[in-house]
Amino acid sequence: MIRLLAGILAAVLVGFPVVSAPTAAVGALGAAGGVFCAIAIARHSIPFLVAGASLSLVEYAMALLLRGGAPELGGAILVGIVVVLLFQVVAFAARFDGAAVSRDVVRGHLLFWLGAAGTIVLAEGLLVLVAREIVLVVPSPAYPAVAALGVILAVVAVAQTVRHAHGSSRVERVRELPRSLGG
Amino acid sequence: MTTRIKSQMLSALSLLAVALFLGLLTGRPECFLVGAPLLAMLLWTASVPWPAPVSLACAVSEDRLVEGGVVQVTVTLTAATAIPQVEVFAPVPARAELAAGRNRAVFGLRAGQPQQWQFTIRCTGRARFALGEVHVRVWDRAGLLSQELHRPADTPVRVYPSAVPLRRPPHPRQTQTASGNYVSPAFGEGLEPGEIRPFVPGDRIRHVNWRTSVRLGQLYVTQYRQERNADVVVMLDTLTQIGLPPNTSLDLSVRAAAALASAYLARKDRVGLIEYGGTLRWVRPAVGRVQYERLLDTLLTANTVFSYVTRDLTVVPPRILPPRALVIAISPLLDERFEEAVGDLAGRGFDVVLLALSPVEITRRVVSRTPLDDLACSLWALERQEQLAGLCRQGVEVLDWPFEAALETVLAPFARGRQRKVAVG
Repeated sequence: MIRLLAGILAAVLVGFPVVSAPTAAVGALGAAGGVFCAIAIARHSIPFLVAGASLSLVEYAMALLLRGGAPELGGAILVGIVVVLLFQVVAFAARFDGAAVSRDVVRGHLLFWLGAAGTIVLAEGLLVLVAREIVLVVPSPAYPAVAALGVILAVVAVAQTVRHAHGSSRVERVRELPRSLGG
Repeated sequence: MTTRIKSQMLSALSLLAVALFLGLLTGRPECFLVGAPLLAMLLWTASVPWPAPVSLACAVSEDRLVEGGVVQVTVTLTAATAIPQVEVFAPVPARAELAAGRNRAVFGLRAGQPQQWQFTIRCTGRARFALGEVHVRVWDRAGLLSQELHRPADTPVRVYPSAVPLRRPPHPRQTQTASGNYVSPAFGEGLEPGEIRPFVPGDRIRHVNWRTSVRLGQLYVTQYRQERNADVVVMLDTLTQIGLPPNTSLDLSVRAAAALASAYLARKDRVGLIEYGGTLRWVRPAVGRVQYERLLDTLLTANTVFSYVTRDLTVVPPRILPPRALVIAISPLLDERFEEAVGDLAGRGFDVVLLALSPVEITRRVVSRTPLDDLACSLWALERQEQLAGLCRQGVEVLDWPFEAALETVLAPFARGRQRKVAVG
């Protein structure tokens, strides 16, 4: 079921840019991203997922460039949600691969993902509205300052998350608990 | 508990960086909007507080069992606050396998309510290990951070070799001075009648054989044979082994040693053990249940220790290898040093019985069945027959033990032959 859900999300992520700008270049990038995502889903591999999702984002950016025109924010929100959900689903499967997962945990996660998707839609809708107001109020020379504010926000978010780890600076690269011990 | 940043966080940051970079490169706001949910995920992770620490307990149903036995492991987790995701992992030791349940599980904890998680492991081979080691990870919802707790193993578990009951182990040729179950050639107090001789002053009246006395017209007494025990030393070849666990040649030898020890101790014999390998280990012969436990504990850890140094059995003190002891050597005869040691014991006058476990059948189970392998095994079997014949010529009584034959079947005909010799002597 997890693989099916991840497969649907990967298909949306790869297919949306192709639908937006059906060209050979976008299709090729989409195919490459799809292959990586498929491997990631099959093997529950986060590195392959990052590669696949990155290629899909490049494909999306290329589709935006080729299509041109006014920004399509609805599609961007969809792609953003799909990226997060795909990452979450594959990461969940990778974390608990081979473990006996209780139904409560799966149910709780499904609700969490649904809630997260809804929250993101609302938040990004709000963000778009705020951005439109800012465009009306702030003069164009001040746009870099607004962008810088966004960057600072991002850095603070990352710093806060790291700080939340109570000073632990160790990044664990092993994906799972030691299997060599018999798991 | 130790808090750790997981590799998933680096992956999320990578994706966020890619989205922002593409936004800067293309100048399209959509790319920034794509990265916004990833940023929100990081912010959300930072804002959720960690739950209260988890208390952990682990119980093991058995701490002493025989091969093939099962142990149920019960892990109990309790937390003061509700935790949505707790991952628990208990490693399965070597020479054990999961019999029921899983040793890795993910579940949620409710505030103040203990949550139990059980699984069963089957101990496939003799071993000594510790159970109770548990790793616990408390995950945040997004899976970017975790808190870890480790409980070290603290319950020692002993898996003893399974010993099949033996009704007729090989009889020793010579007995010792303590009372036991063997009929000694010497006369004295006992139940087994020996000879009838004329009465002499000092004989007990209750030994008078009245029927003979009446027939022959003078008093005759019946002499009884003493019932004595014997010293039995089991000598185990730990120089080398062959096959796959839990049925290596050493495992089979250890099981045979345990069965023989059990049988002889039940007959009130003194039983000792010598492990002949890279290092010499021994257990002094003694009687009783405690001695059986001692032997099993030693057999539990018997393992091959290879060395180029040849151990001389003359260093073994007489209290370990008593004179007139029955030495039962168990070996696949893969190392000629053991063969020499057995021949040496026979030459020194010990009553030596060699239980020669056939390595050919063990190897046949492991290698593929090709004509070349069959030919090699046949040649090996012929060589082995010659090897056993050579040992017989040295005065060693050899029992060929095919891999799949029951030990009782291998020992029974031989025991009858030796029993006759004892009766004559």
